[in-house]
Amino acid sequence: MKFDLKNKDRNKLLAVLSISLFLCLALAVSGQAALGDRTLSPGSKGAEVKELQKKLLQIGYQVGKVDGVYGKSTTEAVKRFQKNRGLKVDGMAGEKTIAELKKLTGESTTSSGKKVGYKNSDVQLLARCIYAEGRGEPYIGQVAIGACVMNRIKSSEFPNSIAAIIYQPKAFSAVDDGQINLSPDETAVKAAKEAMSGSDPTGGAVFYFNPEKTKNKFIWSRPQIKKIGKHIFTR
Amino acid sequence: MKENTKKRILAWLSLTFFVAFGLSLAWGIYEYRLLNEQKTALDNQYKRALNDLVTDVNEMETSMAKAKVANGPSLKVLYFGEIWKSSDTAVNRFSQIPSDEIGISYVETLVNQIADFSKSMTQKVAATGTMNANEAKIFDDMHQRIIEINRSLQDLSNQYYAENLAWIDKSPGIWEKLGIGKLIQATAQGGEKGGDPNQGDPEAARQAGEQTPSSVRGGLRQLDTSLQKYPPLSYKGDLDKHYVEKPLGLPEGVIDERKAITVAKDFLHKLGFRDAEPQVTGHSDSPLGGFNLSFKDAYLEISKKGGVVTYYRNQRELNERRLDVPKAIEKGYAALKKLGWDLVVTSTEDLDSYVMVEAVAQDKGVRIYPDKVRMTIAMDNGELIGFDANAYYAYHHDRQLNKKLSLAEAKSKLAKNFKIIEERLAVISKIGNEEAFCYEFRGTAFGEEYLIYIDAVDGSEVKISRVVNTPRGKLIQ
Repeated sequence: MKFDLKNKDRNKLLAVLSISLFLCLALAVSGQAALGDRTLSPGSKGAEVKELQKKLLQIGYQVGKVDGVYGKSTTEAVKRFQKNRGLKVDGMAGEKTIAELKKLTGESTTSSGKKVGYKNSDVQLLARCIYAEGRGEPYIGQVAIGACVMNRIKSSEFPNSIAAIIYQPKAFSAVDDGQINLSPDETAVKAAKEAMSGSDPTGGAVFYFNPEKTKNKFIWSRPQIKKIGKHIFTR
Repeated sequence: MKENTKKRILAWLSLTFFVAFGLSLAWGIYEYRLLNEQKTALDNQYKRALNDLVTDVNEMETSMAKAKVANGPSLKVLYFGEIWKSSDTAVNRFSQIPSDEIGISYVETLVNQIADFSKSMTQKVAATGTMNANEAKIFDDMHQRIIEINRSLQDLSNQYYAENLAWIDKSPGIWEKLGIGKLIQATAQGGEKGGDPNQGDPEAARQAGEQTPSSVRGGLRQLDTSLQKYPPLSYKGDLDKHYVEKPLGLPEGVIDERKAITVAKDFLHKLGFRDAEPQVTGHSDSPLGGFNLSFKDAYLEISKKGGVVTYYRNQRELNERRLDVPKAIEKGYAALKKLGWDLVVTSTEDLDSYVMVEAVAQDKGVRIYPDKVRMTIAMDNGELIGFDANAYYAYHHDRQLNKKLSLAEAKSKLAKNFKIIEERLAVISKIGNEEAFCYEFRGTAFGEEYLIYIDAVDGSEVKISRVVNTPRGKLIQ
């Protein structure tokens, strides 16, 4: 068998091929629709869902794995978001829900509207530290751990940024054993935000320890302020 | 036949064994190489931190020597700026070097103090052209100490390269841990075991000071010990704002546990808990501390001195958000009024199920920013679920507010293109743990919103804050 096409036929074939190629591309692109083009609901899949999950995660709502599948945990996260923002709690990401989500995940602006970034980069790290060190503690106990980090920034005996304090060798056992890399729950994110806004239930503490687990002489020698949950907070 | 099967089994077994052995050997070599690579990468980071630390402190010391002799403001400000910069980075380098424990470090404290001091001197010299005799004396004292630190650090760095010092003192190996081998005495630490803290033990510390370190951390610890012989610096400055030694605002008198319960009951009653039965669940030992009480999901703190509620947090479950921010603030403010507070709301942060609000005291129309109360208001029903008056009771006192500048004079100090939106008088805290009585101007320039504070007594620019619109409210940077 031999293809013996004339020039004209060849051109025709080429045209058909390129048109179908173009159509394929166009379809592929339209598959990547932007978040907010349609209502997403349990069972939805794709890039839009992934975008939705990322945004929820960005403001502290845990969605499980960011996998582009609108599963149970995503539905629950959407419900919690709707509850906390006073929207209709139906677990579906409709126009209003997505608009609210976009608003809250947007960048900060100057008075003339110029974008200047998110201005919340340390919340995630502090939340991880709180979760790794204090999950299972009462909420105030978690805020207190965050407040200790914030107090260290103000103190002359420690470095001056959240990252420098958290990653200081031997400062937090949960950093040394890698628990810091666990993804924090919503309570820890909330506690981190509250501590960063300046809330301090510890009365100025810079150390804390679990009296049942610690024999370290130095930490026991520090002036104790109070006990919250399982931890004793000291100066 | 039987013999044959045995032989075959044996052959198979030995073959499996050799294959398994070969595989695990290969795996072991692979892991070993990987470990080495990672060790090197980590070690390089540590080396970098140590080298940077030595460089920073050296630069710091040099700039201090120059700043002492500089006579005109232009160079003096420049050198103070350099000191500030290198001391700030030195503190961060210091915290990157491996450690076997965490404790309070004198070196870090001193370097931090110098950073704060040079920051306030940068501003002062730029404004007034010089520093006074007392400041010069403090600065010289700081310099003498830094010379010593610098020498020790360079010595340590030399030792590190010459002897390949370990980063931290050797901790007991596996045999020692099992109790079979003899414990190796870690000379530098003065303690028997690695990781055993020797701080707070003056005898061990004294001994440590006289020996050659066996590790970088040990050397730093010795340096720390040697610095303890100095008297404390007379400069306190901007330090340790997180902890107030002498609160200014607590009422007179001391209360007992019974009174604390009455105070808590009254507080809860005003918040709408009719028959609350708060229980004392603990004590806190700090100048603002006293009794910790609980009632259902609520936690309260009542000061021993003066018997006031300093902290309250209701950790109840929050329901569906039903209010908008202004409405919630209105409700929270009403609750605050009921509790006997008359404050002005200065900032809000919308945190979904609740909103955090800062409110400050006002004295004849003057906003007193240091006297601050922080409220948390639930967005489901506007209930006040959080209240923190620690700052208020720490700083509140009667202030003598006499301005010398007129509004027009203060305005003339502003940048030409600054458009004023709002103006008022205010007391703010400034560098050096001091307060300043100022004109506050809110306005715009370069497309940005600012708060500019002009001293109402001497007319200097005290502080500039930038206001940014975040999705959760205005952020004052």
